Amino acid sequence: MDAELIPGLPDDVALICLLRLPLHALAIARRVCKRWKQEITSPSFYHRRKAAGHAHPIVALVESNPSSRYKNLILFEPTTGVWNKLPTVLDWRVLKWCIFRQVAAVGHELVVIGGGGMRRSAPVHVYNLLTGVRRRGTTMPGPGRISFAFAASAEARMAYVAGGQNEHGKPLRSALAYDVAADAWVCLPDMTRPRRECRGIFVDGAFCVAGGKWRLDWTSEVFDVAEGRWTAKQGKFLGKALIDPLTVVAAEEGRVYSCGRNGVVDVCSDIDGGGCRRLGEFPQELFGFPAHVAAWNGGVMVMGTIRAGITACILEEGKWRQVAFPTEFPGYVESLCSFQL
Amino acid sequence: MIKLVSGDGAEFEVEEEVAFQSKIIKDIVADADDVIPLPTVSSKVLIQVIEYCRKHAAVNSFPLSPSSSAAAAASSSSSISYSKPVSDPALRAWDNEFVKLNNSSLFDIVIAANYLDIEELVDLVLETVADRIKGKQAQEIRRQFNIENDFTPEEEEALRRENSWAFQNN
Repeated sequence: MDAELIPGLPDDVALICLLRLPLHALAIARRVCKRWKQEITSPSFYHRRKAAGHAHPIVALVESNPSSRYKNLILFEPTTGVWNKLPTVLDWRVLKWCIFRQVAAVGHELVVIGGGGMRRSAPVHVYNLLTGVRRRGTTMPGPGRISFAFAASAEARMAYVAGGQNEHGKPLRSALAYDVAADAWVCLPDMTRPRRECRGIFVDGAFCVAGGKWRLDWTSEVFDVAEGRWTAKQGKFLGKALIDPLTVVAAEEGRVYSCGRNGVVDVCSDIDGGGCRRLGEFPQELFGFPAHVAAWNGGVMVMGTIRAGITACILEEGKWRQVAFPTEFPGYVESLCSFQL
Repeated sequence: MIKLVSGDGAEFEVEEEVAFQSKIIKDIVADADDVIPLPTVSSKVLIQVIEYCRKHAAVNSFPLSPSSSAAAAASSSSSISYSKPVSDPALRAWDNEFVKLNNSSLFDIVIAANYLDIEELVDLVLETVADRIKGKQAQEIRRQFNIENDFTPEEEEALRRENSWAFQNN
């Protein structure tokens, strides 16, 4: 007979209690005993947690400190204000020497991919958020690619890569997909044109990318996952923010959130009848230029870069609140993504 | 008035609106029975539960602010145990005092509240227990809740290495 989850409480009641813990507390709680570990590391625990309304939004960021060449993978919980630095991996240094890093959430895992640098390979690290176990994934095949688009589909458990440039600065048309569970790369058809600087978001079952040879000629196209091909066909509003290199974008549940050079935050979608709506304006004194945006159900986080470093504000229900960066993370944010867990 | 009988035979007369904080009692009374035996609930726990229900019945029937009546309406329409913050600050402060109890007293209350189906009380206690887990290290959690550490030292070391999130609260 197994021990009780919490001595003195029926297991079903104790479990509801554990469902309420924020992610950083679960990371400690799974070390308490075998029963807790078994519950807290099982996917069904997170399905129940979500169904009971206790899933929290999480923002994952790759932080980089140019003075020490130090790279961190950091989780931020907007609801509790807690920051966590994930433990560094033994061969994290492989990623550290890359000049380009991106992060995306696929299901319960974070996929970090690097590019460029001396080794000219693209190492892949997968971090399981439920168990805390990290593993090296299969290196991305092909040229030592940087400045590529990277976005993930949580449902399909795939992460997509497109465009960018090789180690000689040649713009690329090629695209790939990484199957996280199978740890395998699949080649996708080429895009219609090379994109030296490329970025992507995943919206409504499609990998939407934008980029060009030069900053002034950005265009977009869409890889439809179900059809397995690139199309020019895309929503009327989705591409608009994506093709402006000075606007930062993020996608959540079929909606595209953007923050322009002027600090204006919009949400656009082709669902709900379509259209764009202004959500607010990033506080001017903190703004500098927009660096990143992340969105979750009910909130948008915008990061700006000014001389003093990174600034971040969260917009919830029409109100902005500033987020203090911990002093241990003084660098700049290379990449971020958000998810619910 | 409704008569509640605890497991140790003590009788408590309470007003309907107090007893009806429990959905189970409300259902039983609908079947025309106003002496209700609660064999699994001790009189000590029942006194605490009635105290809670009396306070909440008073506030819910005479809402102090429009927002608290909205919260009450929202809570009665939902059957899932979502955490619904009590919006009335005075009632919230009262709740915070109410749960200043040791773990085993809290567990007795939540078991009774779960049995009696008093959703807000279950919610309040579970949130309190969760708060006692948050912000603590594994060893402190074990000590607080009497949980045996069944990991071998090697397993524990492996977990510590894997799971040591450096932690910063602003």
